[in-house]
Amino acid sequence: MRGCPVEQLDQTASSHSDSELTAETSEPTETKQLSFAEVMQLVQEGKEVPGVTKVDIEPSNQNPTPSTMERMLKPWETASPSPESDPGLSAFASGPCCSRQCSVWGNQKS
Amino acid sequence: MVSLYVTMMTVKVFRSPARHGYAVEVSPYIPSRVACAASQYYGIAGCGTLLVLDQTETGLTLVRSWEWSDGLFDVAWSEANEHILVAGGGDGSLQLWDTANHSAPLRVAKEHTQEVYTVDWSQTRGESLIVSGSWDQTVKVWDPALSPSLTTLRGHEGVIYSTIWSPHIPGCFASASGDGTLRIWDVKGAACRLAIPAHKAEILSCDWCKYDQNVVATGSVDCTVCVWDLRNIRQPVNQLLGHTYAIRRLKFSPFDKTVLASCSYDFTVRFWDYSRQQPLLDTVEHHSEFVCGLDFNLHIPNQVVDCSWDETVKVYTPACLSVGAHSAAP
Repeated sequence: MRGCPVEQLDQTASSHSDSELTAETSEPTETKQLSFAEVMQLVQEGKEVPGVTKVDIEPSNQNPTPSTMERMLKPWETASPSPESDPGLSAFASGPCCSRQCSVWGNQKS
Repeated sequence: MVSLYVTMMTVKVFRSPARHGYAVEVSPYIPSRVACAASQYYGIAGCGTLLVLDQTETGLTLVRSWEWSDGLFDVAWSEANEHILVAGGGDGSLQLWDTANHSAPLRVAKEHTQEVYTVDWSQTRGESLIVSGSWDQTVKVWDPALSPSLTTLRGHEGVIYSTIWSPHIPGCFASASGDGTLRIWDVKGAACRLAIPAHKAEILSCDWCKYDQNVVATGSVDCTVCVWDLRNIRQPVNQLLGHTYAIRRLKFSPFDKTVLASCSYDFTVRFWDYSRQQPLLDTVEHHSEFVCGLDFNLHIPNQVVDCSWDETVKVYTPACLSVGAHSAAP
């Protein structure tokens, strides 16, 4: 079961329990549209959610389609040239984390 | 606050039945192109769908869509190849997708042990790195081959909701967490350089100012946006009040130094100029559910795209952002 952080759920607007599917969609939906609260309840009770689409996708491991387009400058890059070296980082942080414990470091590759 | 702007703007809408939008991003190569990461059943059960949409004069058309076996929570376009995207999934995987490849992702990397809630592709010239943040409380950095990760960074004491590369400082990114801290990281040193207790509640989003490399904003479950100058972290530069539920995502404008947008569980998108006495520029109320995804178009000034759990993606140009509609406070 996937949990959503509880604080966020406490703030859900009350319309969830009575939300309706509007008639605007042109394609038929796969199943009756459940509300967020209804899906959460089914999941928390360990029940199967009806109409859940089960797919099994494997990567192709092919190479990417070659790029033929030039990278465009971002709007802030044309405004003024910015240095590629990183004086910016040392302007606000000179060493390892100062105000909080950073416990475990992991490096898979140096 | 009464809106001073007549919101009679063209809104282009795409409907994705039974798919709830979590994230949108405009292509850095093709200004009319938008990607959307969406999930079945609000992302708590079932599959995910990645959508690629193109704008027409009046609407949005589907270019390509792919299914994934779990919900998809974020998407980022490659900064090095116009065909390529990376998405983060509820199964802890990152997938690399190619718009010219119909059938399947190119690569899948399954290292995170819980949901990948955020992915970002570095914009700084000269590097091509992907950062991912997960509910497993770790951040991973990858190259586009995607396997294995280059580094795993630990330090956050809660789930990670947002990891965003600095647009100016190579190898530097910010992260926002359920532990209430905003952290700034240096990939080369594999270290957290700053940890700011920015909110007393979860922080769901962060973004960098595009015109001042020291400025970062955070959006929290406490309904506020805080703007921080990293050279003085004792208090925020500004605190933006107005949203009535959690802020889900925020983005700084690519065109205006002090302008940003935020979207919320209060169903609205708000636009702010944090240099003003009254920062709130406008409130857009065109969704009927949580608004989770938000992006500014990098190449069409003042165009905004958003997506919501109401199964829609919307593209529009808010009047409050038009040239001359606002100016920095004296």
